Formats: sequence, C-alpha cells, structure tokens
Amino acid sequence: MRLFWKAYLGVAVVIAVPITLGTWVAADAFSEIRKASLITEARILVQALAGEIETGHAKGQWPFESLNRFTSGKNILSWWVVRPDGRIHLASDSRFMGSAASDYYPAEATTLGERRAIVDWVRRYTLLTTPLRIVPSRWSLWVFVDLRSAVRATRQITVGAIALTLLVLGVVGAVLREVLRKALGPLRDLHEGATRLAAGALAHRVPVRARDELGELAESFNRMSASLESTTVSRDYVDSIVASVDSALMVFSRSGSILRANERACDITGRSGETIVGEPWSELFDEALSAGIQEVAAGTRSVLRREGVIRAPEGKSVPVYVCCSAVRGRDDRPELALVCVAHDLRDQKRLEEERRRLQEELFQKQKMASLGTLVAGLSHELNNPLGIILGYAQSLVKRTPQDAPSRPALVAIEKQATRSAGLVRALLDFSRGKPAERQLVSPDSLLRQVTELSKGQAQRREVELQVEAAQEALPAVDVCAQEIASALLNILGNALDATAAGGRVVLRAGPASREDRAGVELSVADTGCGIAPEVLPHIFDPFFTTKPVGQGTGLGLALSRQFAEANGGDVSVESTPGQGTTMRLWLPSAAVPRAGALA
Amino acid sequence: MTRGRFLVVDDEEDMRGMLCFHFAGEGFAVDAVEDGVSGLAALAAAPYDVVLLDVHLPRMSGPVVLQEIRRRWPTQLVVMLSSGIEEDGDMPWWTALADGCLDKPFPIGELERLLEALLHRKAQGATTP
Repeated sequence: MRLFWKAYLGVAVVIAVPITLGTWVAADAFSEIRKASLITEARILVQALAGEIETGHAKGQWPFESLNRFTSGKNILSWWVVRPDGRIHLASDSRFMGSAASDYYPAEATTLGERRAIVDWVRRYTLLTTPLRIVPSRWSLWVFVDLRSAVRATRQITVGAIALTLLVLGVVGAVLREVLRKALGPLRDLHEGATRLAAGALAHRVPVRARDELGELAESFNRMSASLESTTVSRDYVDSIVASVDSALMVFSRSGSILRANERACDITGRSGETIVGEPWSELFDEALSAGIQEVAAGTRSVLRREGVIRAPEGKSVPVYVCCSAVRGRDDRPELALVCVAHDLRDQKRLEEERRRLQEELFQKQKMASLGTLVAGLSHELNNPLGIILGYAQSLVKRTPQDAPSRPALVAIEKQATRSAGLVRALLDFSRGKPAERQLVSPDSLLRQVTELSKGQAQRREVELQVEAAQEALPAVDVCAQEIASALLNILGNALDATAAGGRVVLRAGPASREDRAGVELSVADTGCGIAPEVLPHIFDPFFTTKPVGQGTGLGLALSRQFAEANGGDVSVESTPGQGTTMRLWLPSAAVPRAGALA
Repeated sequence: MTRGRFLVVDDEEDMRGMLCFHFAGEGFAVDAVEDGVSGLAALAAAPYDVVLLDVHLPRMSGPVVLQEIRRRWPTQLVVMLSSGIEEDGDMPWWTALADGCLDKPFPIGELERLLEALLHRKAQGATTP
C-alpha cells in the first residue's frame, strides 16, 4: 500500500500545513488581541488603583485591604508600591516588602516611564508601572498583569486545531483508503493478469469492472492478451502440434544426433521415445537419404525432398518420403538444428502394388477373354473341315487293303486329323474354362510322343533331335495328355525353328520338386539364336510373336503356359542370346500312382 | 437291297460328299440336300430311315427343321450334327427332340455305330408295334 501512504502523505501535508499555519496565525492574532485587551483593562485598573493609593495616602494610610479587594478576581498577579529609593514599600504579597525591585527586575524597570509595560512571555505576565502623585515624589505603582489567559486561549486554539487536523487527517485517510481500494482493484487485477500472462496463461482475461479509464485499460490489456494468444505460439501449443502430425517429425542437431521425435517417428522407426533421442540420425536412413541430410546439415543444400527407406530394427525397412530443412530463426538465420518430416509410404506402396497386380490380372483376363473368343470362333470354323478330313480319312482307311501302298498315308492323315480335332477340343474346353479330362501319363511316353511327331520337322531343318532318358523311373503325372503334348510340341517346334542347320535340340525328363511338391521337369534345350532380354518377359503373352507375319499366331507359348498351369504345373525359360534357350515344363507328380492306367 | 436310306442335310458340299462317299461305300442309300427347305421337300417326296441334320443351316436352321419334321412325321429318326460349339450351352434344347447328336469332328465309325443302332431300334419297333 505504498501508493496509499504517498497519497496520504501528500493529502496530509496539503491539509495540515494550511491548518497549522492558519491556526498559528489565528492563535497569534487572538493572543495579541486578548493581551491588548488584558493590558487595556489592567491600565484602567492601574489608574483606579493609583487613584485609590493617592486618596488613601492623602488620608495618611495605605489602602492595603481595598487594593487587594480591587485586584482579586482580576487578571492581576500582584502589585508593588515602590518607594523612590527603589525598594518595595507595599506589595500584594508581603514577602516582597522591603526588598529592592531591581533584584527582580533589571534596573531599567525602575526607570520605566509612565504606563510603560514589560511583557514577559516566558513568565506570561506584563508589568505595568505608573507614577504615584504623592509626596515625596517618585513613588510608583507596579502591577503585574496575568497574561496566562491569553496564552491559555492560544493553547486551546492550538489544541483545537491539532484535534481538528487529526480528525480531518483520519477522515481523509479513511476516504482515501476507500477511494484507492476502488481505484486499485482493477490495477490489482491487471497485476495478477500480467503475472499469469508472463507465466504463459494466454487465455486469462481480467474483469472489466467499470466504464472508466481503468476499465479501458483492462479492455486493452485483454485485447493485448487475445492478440498475443492468436499470434504467439505457446510451448504447449507447439507440443500438441508436433504430437498431432501424422508423419514422423524429428529435429536433428547439425552434429548428427536426434534431438526430438514425435510418436509417429517412434512408430515408423521402430524405436521408443527414450532411445531415439540422442541416437545418430545417420543410423535411421539409407545411404542416399543420409547423404542428402548431411548436405542440409552442412548448409550446401537448403532442402532435401526425396523418397527413401528408414531402417527399422530386425532388418525391416519402411519406405518414406523425407523432407528435411534447416530450422530457421526469426531473423532467417539458420539455427543449429534440422527439421525432418518423413511420411510413411507403406500404405501407398501396398496400394500401388495391389493396383499393379489388379491391372496385371485384369490385363491377363482381358487377354484370355479375347483369346477365348478367338479360340471359340476358330475352333468352330476348324471343326467342319476337320470333320470332313477325318471322315474321308477314316472311310478310306477302312476300305483300303492292309498292304496297299497308300494306306500309311491315309492312316497318317487320320492320325493328324484326330490330333487336330483333339487339340481344337482342348482349346475349346480351355477357352470355356472347362477342366480337361485328366489321365495318368508317364513323362517318357509324352517325350516319345512329341519326338515322334517332330521328327519330320527336325529332319527337314537338319537339326539333331536328341532324347535323354531319365536315370531313374519317373512317377506318372496326372494331366490332360493332349494339352501337355501340345504344350511340349509348341515348345519343341519353337526350339527347332530357332536352331540353325547342324544345331541340336535335347529333350530331357527328370524329377524336380517345387515348394515341397514332388514333380517332373520336361526340358527342351536348343543351341539356337536365343531370346533377346527385352523380348524374354513377353514370350508367354498371347499374340506376341517374333515370327514373320503369317507364320506365327503368337498363341503357341501362351497356350503352352496355360496348359501347363491348367494341369498344375508351370513353364520357365532361360536364354542366352547367341547360345541357346532352355525351356522347362514342370508338372506335379500324381498323388497316388495308378500303375494300370498309364497311357 | 440297301442297309438303309439316309438323308443328309448339310450346307457344306464336302461334308455331304464325304458322308455320301462313306455310307454309299458301306452299302447304304444316301441322298444329300444343302438346306432345310430342300430337306423337308425331300422327306415329303420319299421316306428315309434316318435324317442327318446339320445344326447350322442357311435359310432355316437345323433345330427349326427338326421341329417341322417332328410336327409332320413324328416317328422320323433324326441325328443332329453340330459344330462342337453351340451358343445355347452344352445341352441345347433341341437335343431332347433329336434321336442322336454328334459333335463335329466325329470319328466316322462312331456315326456308323449310332446309325446302325437306330436302324436296329426301328426294325424292332416295326416288328413289335
């Protein structure tokens, strides 16, 4: 309440000084008036006393009794009748009689003129002297006039003034206190508001108590707080922003350690909040990202934006998109830290992969659908001519004698027409998605069958066709023999086409397991021109062909693969351009071999 | 004396030729026409033991000819020859009306066995009505 005491002291001085001065002046003036009045009264009395003494002396006696009577009840302390020799002849107090008046008063008193007065404020009386007209001459009457009543009046005034001053000061103090309390209440609110604001409570507002200057001050304080709240970012606010970002947000020191990381960062990097702080960030990223961040740290690069990989524990890696830049201070000077945001791309990558797979699947389905339409139309058109050829051939075989030279030709026509009819049937079933009829076949018989059928082509192309028998007896496969034979024939035909005269094509059969499934691998290896690497991924695509227009349908290998897969197997290829190609047809072994059913 | 009389209705000349060649060689009497209208006319002109009716015929499709035959000669034996792929699915409605169905290309011996069985059935039916 220092302000109160300052204000009170000011007010007190302002009030007390005039009162004190005024009282002093007034008391002095009053005292003077009273004194003058007392002296005037006393002078009259002195004249009366002088007259009484003169009258009494004339009668030959000192009117001691009447003098005392005259002076009692008046403001007279005492009176002396002083002889010409300066000795006190008569006094109201008999103890003074006979003593020299100069003992009590300096010599000059004796020489006082008529009606001279000595005022002794110290002893609070005044001395009036008057000469007495009695013989012998030079007798004088000294009267001590009591001035204490004047002093008393002055004291009363002073005491009254002091009391009044104190009363006024008390009232003023009380009033001032109340006024200040009212006035300082809002100031106290402001003080508390400022203290809380300094502590960071930006949402705190002070009450606006009145529509006066202090009310306006409170309002402007509140406006300032609101403005601060909207523009100033508090630590809590920053913390909650950092925690809410749905990406890994990390702060790095330029020296290479992680200073801060949000929860998402811990999640993506597979580290806990305690262990990640202080870890070198180079451990987190792949080489390219680390190098880029290093450039940002060194200041040779302002921003890094790139896709990369975060290394999580246990050899896992998380694909991320990283943005890294230097933390800039208010004056745009780079600070000692880097801020790095890593966006998790796992979901995106999964979706992309899924989309790619679906597109691939859709593409395959579309290809197969158009293939199916083609095959259906084609087989419909083929069935009639095949029927006619087959009919004539069978009819002729039937009526041609066993030893006729044309009979083998007719038998061959019938066989090939039957094979063609079977293939068309298989194609048709395949395009309809109807499972082909399966039977147990020995891999060797499949090889023998296709070798027999391709022998002529090999001879024409002057290519050696070699069959390497398996070392051991191979288990039978449960397949549609027609489909597998045509798959093999396609592969073998391609091998023969690709191999120049003098080359060699080797057919092999051997046991081979895939993913813990027993099976058989039928391989066709040629010493041909090989397949260019850019062509290799497409060789199984329907309608893809490298043969001149009109010579290849682009369906051969596509069907081979479809047939292989329809029978639970697959086809793979290895090729070295200029050296040759090896195609492998893998088929699963039959679960339960039925020895009697071998074709 | 022929083993039986067949009428071939097929729009493909070589198919007609092949069937005539084979069954004539086997001792059957075979006539051939190129569409359904001619086929119905031939049936009206002379009786046949079995009609070999192609499914895909111009002017009047095989099943429609079959319906007409069934309406006019309910006991006429008819074997349908299809091209292996039918829009109606694996078992088209007309298979129920026909006495036999074969998908082209078929082994000729199979058709021969089917025809002989039908002739045998007809002979049985004729002797034991």
